[in-house]
Amino acid sequence: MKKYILPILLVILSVILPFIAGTYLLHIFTSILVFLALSLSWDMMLRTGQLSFGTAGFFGLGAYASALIVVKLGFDPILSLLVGAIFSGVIAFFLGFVVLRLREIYFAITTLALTHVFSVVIRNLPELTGGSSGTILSNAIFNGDPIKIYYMILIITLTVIGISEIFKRTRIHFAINSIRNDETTAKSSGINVFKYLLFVFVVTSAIQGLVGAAYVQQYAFVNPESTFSLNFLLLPIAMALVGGIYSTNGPIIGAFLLGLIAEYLKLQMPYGHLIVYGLIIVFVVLFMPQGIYKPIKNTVIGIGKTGGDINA
Amino acid sequence: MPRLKADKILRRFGGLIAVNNLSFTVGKDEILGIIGPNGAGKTTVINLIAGTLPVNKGSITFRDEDITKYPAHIRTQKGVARTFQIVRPLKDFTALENIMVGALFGKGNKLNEARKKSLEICELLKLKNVNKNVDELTVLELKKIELGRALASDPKLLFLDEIMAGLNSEETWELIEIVKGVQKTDISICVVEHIMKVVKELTDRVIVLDRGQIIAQGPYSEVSQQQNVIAAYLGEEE
Repeated sequence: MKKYILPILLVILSVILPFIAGTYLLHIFTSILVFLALSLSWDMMLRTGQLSFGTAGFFGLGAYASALIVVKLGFDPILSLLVGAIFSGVIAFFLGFVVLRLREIYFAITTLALTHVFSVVIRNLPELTGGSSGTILSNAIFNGDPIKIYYMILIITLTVIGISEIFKRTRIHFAINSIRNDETTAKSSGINVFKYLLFVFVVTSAIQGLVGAAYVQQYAFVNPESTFSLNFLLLPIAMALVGGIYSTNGPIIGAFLLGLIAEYLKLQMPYGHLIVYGLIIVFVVLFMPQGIYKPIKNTVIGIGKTGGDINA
Repeated sequence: MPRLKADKILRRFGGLIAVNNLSFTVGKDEILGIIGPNGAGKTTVINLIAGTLPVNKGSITFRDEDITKYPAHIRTQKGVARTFQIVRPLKDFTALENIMVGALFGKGNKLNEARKKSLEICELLKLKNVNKNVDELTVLELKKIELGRALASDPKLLFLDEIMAGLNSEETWELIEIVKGVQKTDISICVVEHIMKVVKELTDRVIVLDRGQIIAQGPYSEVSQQQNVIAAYLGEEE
């Protein structure tokens, strides 16, 4: 029971946050939660051994799907979030048959290229998408109420955390961990490697699409430059690396740490946070390759208690 | 019907024919030995039957079903299991979790069933450090994990690829006894082995491969006396 106390406290804290924090702080936390969800989705794919650089791509697809279905077809903005998720998931499903034949650096580069392809396609469909100048929505979701928006993002992020924990606690964990460790052994143990890769690729892409949709509904504006931005690719990766990959807690810790540091540094020096970001990432990767979560955990609960715990 | 029937299977690697129109069967309740000099094609035969590699020609029938076109994971689910010559443990898992993978996906067990069954297999294998990570285990323990993962998938046909290699005499005998015990549970076994005392001790029948073809077959005691077998191993006198 004891190990649930901290998570429950954190959830309660995040639910009452709008009542204790001002608008500025709430805005920062909303932004951190967005990146946290992206970071977890990237990590979930990495658990299969596939390094994806497509996070911003599927984020952008979801953003556009959501924006356009509201603007062109008059969909309800809340419903459009689902449309964003489904659209990214469906595209990932079909692309998966091709890109999931690739491994390692070839997979990584191809997913990065896909992001660029999505962006180019959208730029070249000005009648539908507004081209490179983008599309403006008539109104932000919930009329831009920051508290309601915060709760919307919180629900999405908690859902993603839940999915990540399902991935850690069920047979999915055994399948994707095996695939990452040794694909030949995985196949010889009866694991349908492609099926699991496709499943994880579709789920994580749908999450990215959902987050993209929520993001665009929050700001009521979408354009290719800001949605297919490296921000939505590199920051989530940095957060997962700093916090610790292959876990749920790692990206959570990394997102809050880097998110808060970045916010502070932005006030000190415009874009100065990017330099410090780079330094932190280099430091962590060189000296703490497991991220900061595992060393903390081992110190707190004592080393040697890892055995037999599938959630370790 | 034999449990496994390989009919004229052929596999090329570029210009080299590794397995050449090979036909053999494995009976129910049988331990078949596959021996031959290095490069004879023994491991390739396992890869072809287990589906790790596709055959170029020929057919494979397992329990009256043509499995030639099935991918490796389906063959495992149907009951063909194998161990690897060079152990391939899943390094981010404990010993027990490694074995559970076979039960979860080879057999399709649920998590708690798989855990229970894997613990039973650990007991059968006399594997004690079930909760240690694999990088802390000895060679014998790693071999047992290979065997355990294969057994957990509930196979009807088990390929053991040089599972005794690298073990000392005492450990070898321990594993021989375990394999004998396994065979009594309605699992047909194929052993590829270089250590002749293991072949002699375990097998009912052997086939001798050289350059991808069978050059002799029969009980080990007979085959080991044949001139062409000795020549294949030692080279012919001019």
